[in-house]
Amino acid sequence: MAVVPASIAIAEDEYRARCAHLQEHCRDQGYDGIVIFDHQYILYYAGFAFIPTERPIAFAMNVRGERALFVPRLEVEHAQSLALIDRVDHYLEYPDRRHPMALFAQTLQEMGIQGRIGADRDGYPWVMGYRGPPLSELMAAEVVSIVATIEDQMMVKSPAEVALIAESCKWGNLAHMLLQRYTRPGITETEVSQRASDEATRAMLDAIGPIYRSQSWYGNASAGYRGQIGRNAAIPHALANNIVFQEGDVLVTGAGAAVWGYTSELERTMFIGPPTAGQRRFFDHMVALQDLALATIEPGRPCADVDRAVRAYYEEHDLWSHWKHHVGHAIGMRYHEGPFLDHGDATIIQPGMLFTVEPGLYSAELGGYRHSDTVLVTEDGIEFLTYYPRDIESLTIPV
Amino acid sequence: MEETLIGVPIGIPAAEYRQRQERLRAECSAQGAGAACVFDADYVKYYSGFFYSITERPLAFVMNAQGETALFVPRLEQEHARAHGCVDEVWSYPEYPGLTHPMAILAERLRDWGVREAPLLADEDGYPWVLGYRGPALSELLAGSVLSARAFIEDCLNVKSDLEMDLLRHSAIWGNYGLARLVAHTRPGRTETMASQRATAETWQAMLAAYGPHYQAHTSYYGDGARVEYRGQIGRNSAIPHAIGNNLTFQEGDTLIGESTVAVWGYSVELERTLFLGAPGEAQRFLFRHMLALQETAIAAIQPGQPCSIVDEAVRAYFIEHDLERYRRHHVGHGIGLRYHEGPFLDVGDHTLMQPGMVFTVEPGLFDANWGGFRHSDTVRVTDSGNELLTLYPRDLESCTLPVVER
Repeated sequence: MAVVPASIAIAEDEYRARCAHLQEHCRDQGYDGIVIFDHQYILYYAGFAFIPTERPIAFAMNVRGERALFVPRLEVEHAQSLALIDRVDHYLEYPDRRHPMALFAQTLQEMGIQGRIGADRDGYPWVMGYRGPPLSELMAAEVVSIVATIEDQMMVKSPAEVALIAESCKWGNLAHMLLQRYTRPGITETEVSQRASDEATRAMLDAIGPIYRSQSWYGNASAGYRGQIGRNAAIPHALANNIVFQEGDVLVTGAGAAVWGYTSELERTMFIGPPTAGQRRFFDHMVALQDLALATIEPGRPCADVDRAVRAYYEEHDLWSHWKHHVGHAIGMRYHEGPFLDHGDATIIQPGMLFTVEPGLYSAELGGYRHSDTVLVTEDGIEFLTYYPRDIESLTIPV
Repeated sequence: MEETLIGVPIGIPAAEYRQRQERLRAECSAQGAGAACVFDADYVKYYSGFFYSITERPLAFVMNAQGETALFVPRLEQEHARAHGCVDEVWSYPEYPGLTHPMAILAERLRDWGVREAPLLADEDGYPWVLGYRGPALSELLAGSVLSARAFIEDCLNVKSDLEMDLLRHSAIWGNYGLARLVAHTRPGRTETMASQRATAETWQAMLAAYGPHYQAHTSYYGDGARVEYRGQIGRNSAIPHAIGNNLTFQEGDTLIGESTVAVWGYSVELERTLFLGAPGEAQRFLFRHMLALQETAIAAIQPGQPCSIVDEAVRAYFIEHDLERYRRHHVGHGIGLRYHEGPFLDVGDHTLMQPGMVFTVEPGLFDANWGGFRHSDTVRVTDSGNELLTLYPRDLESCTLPVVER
């Protein structure tokens, strides 16, 4: 007899609840229906993961809660396999003799979605060579943006979402552990990150087994340096450059894993060989900044408070010349999301929100110093989802 | 001390970025625009050579009517943009959202630059709301009109220069190598993940060894540069054209679609092969043979001066003539270059005239729920007199049949 494993994927009921929330918004605002084009939003409401191309794909829901996916011919079977969807309408190809949007207009008309429409965009975005009309023009309708509503809903995670992000942290942790283990002077960042990422990915696929779905184009666990090695570590969003490790390098890492469309963030500052006094000074300040940020995250307070507390530390210790960015961002289905731990973000911190906490210090001579942890806001404070050691001894690679 | 010899760098030189900028300036002037503002990351790369990670922090390439250029970046990209951006100035703002919204800062800088009454040419009316970003439209901020630059920019990207073509040729060579490695690691009992990881790692290592420290992938689509994989297109599952990898185990008798994509300074061609694990049966040979004939029909129809639609029409005529319509799922192909798909499209509805310098994937496919998917994809450039195949991997049945060896 076949054994059916319990899945940790988002259950159908949860998708239904997400849609119900949006339907309520639709009713409150007097929309005849909603239309969503963004592939992450479609995955969030319909559980439909696909590779975005110039072929438009849309999710539509009318005020009665009837749900439709509009897809090209090549995605029909894929879309029809979703229990949640009441109706799959398709077009043959883009651009074709008749523009796909002309057919989509029919779908919307039949569903009664016209007149006043809530949408994430006024038409499919002009990506990958797509060209087409705005939704407002197509339907001769008033199109109102619902992005803020969607983003507000996605900010607060359910227990099932938190469980997936915790799962992502586990495999990011493994990839990071292997990254640290294989890093030594004389070899390249490429060799090390490829080996660590490949081994962690295979362990994850074997451990979770055939139920595993990345629901993301990149179905893997990964860890790497993105070129943040030695002096180059002073560039926070650098890109891999195949640098050879040397004794004395300061390193900034990054690790995570794609698990049913969710991700996490783990970053560490490491040293090859014992750090110098100057490196140690930056490291200690960076850990103090992160501790301060973590202590400030509390439900009921605005996000801005966290950045303000951290900024006060920069001020007090005369570190402004080493500042390059705010404290952190939310994370979930996307590698960055709102709200932001930034002095300009007044959003109130709520239980169920997830943040990366990653204040950094950068010096053209001494490199970059940044740990990033993913934390969950609870009823009375925070809980770490990442669990890699943060202290200098654990992060010094012997030569 | 030994002197270091620096080789001629590969990639797009500053002079070519200046030419691209000059065309944009001419378009501004033709449209009577006071400035141009570009937010899309691939467009920013196209005009400035600056490649970066996309986030909620708005980033833009801007140009005024005199042709002066700037990159508008967050503080954390300042040094990075100064080092790599082919622009006159780098303007930075502290952070997003910050106490003053970055777009207000951009509007102020544009006003200082003398952009006032004249309309603005832009790819979008403001930074798109991605990754949690929220912000106002440019037209609101500047209280002026915004003209869309999108179609103009797309038209520019669709025709490749000689230097872009060189990079596509580099990509074709490494794509060929990657697919050969993928085939070498494919055998019954192994998983697609194992074969894909090994082939990808070997390709990347070989490429880094060959180019040395010069190499830049500059792509947000293919991981660190190389992607060699089956994406779950194995056995029956290969009937789903845009599948996502599922860690399947290879079995004798499988029809596979392997693909190998390597980005070289942002540019890549597409290479896909239908492969059989062990000798194919009659139905597999039938579908394979028609697939090859369809691809040849398409390639023969690619001629400068003709509309893109004739290629799809020729292929559709073959489908109908041989009673194969039920196996057809998509058109013949698409443009390719900085992005994995771009216009124009080899589709009955695309009447764009083919021009020398355009580059297309040619990939008509046959799909059957029981037998799987049959699709080769090759990348072809339009020449002055016809076309030329850029991809190198053999297309015939023998070359695409893998021997069954134990793991």
